[in-house]
Amino acid sequence: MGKIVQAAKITHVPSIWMSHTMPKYKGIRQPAIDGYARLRQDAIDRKVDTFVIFDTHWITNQGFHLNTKEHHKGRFISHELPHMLADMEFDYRGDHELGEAILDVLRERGERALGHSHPDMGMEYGTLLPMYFINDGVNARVLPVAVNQFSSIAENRVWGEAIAEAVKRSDRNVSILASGSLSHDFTPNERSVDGLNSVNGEFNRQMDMRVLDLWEQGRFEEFLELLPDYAKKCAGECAMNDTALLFGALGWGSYKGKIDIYTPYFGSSGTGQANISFSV
Amino acid sequence: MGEIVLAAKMTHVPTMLMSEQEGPVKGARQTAIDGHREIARRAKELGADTVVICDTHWVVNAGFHINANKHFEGLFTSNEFPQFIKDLPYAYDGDPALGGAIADIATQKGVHTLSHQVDSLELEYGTLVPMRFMSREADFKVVSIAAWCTVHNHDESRLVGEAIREAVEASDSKVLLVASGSLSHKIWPNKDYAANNGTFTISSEFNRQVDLHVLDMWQAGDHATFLKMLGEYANFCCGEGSMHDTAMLYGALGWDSYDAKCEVVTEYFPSSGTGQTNVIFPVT
Repeated sequence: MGKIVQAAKITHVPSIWMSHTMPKYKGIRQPAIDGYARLRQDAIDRKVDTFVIFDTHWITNQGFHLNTKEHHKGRFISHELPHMLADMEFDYRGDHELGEAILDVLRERGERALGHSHPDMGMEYGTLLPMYFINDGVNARVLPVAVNQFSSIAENRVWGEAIAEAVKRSDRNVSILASGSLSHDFTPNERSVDGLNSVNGEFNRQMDMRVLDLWEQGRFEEFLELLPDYAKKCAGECAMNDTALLFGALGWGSYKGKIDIYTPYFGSSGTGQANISFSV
Repeated sequence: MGEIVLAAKMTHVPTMLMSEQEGPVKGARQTAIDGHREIARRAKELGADTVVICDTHWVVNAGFHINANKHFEGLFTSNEFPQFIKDLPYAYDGDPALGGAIADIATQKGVHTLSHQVDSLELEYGTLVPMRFMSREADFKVVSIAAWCTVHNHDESRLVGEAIREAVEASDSKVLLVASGSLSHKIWPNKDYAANNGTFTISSEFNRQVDLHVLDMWQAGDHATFLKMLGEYANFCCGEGSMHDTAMLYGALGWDSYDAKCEVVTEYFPSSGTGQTNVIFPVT
């Protein structure tokens, strides 16, 4: 029987790539890279077969979508921030089988769910950037999950539950990664260069820290109550539906786990970021 | 020389009055009432003779306004909640000179402010509810400043707050300065009120968490950080009167240079969807 052996809310900011590849920015995101390294080690220790990634940069507008390709290979440049993230080689096995299993559960439950194995189906950096570090040498399969920007928190809870059920029916050790930020209010363009390492707005910064406090104290039910307003008022990345998927898969308000902050909270281009491991 | 001897952010929910009447709310707001009386006792011990209240139930649409009549007396029925506040008797002396001085100094600072002595200009319940309970401890005079400012920004209210302090210091008055208003202030939608036991609950967990976080910041004396988010707090959490009462309070206390640790005298409580408390801001 398969199981979820790893869960985390993770950052994917392109400045991590700058930190890794550009001499001028060398080391600016070292704590994020160090957090990835801890997640990588956990993945090895827990024998992860497949990373299922809720990718807030694969933004969809209708239904629930999976990238069920057998193989992901190519060279990536971000069309959003081409000056920050370019020339990233990738070569991962996909997980068509687990993808189909997730789709089966969703269809059983009456959800509109679609898998795509089309050869031209691309990858986004919400998946690729974390995988570059976390899956380095792990060679686990990669199953990208799109995040629907117009779906409700409640729908994503249902989808997350279905993913957990499908994992249970499979033979896979699965890592689920919610790839998205906390508050996500980009620094206005006029000040964007100065905003590289900061959070845009004290309100957002304070709310992010409040949320981290709630998580550290295990007050997940309170968090889930405020999640819809938090996503809206603090400009949550892709409506924070990655986070709703994560909690859906973990049992929603009945989740009683502990978090471990692998990368402390930091500001990046105005947004609030961290790497946080959720016990499973 | 006069001085502000104590400052406070205070609740004024009508259920405080109902808490002393027979019915389903009886006794429910005792902690808020006790908080008002405690603040009044402290102010009295510090020599206060006058309360200046920034009242978020007095709505103004142009300029800033002060009700500085020499005497207020009558029966008050709220036009917002006539079923909650009905025929409330009141009788307080005012302080026309202090009200006039605040208006003059604020206007000199570039914020057009008028002080009024008009018998038919009534006090609102953001003033009357706190005065009802505080007057059990001492006979304070009262000056009421409109703090539901619809087209104003916090920088202007900050200057009004500075004017309050300068006017008080130029007078002979010992003043308790009150920001009369709630924290988050999203009253339950009318159709959802009963189903949610609205009188005793908050309408948004998000708002509750922000309120509690703000109280943590105040108690830690981290006012400089709080002021960086005041505008968004008022906006996202539906601050009562856009929280101009709070901006005036901080203006009087020195804005972001103020660093005293606040004391919560009435534990945070929800009321009709909103977040309420009584908090002392020590004057340093």
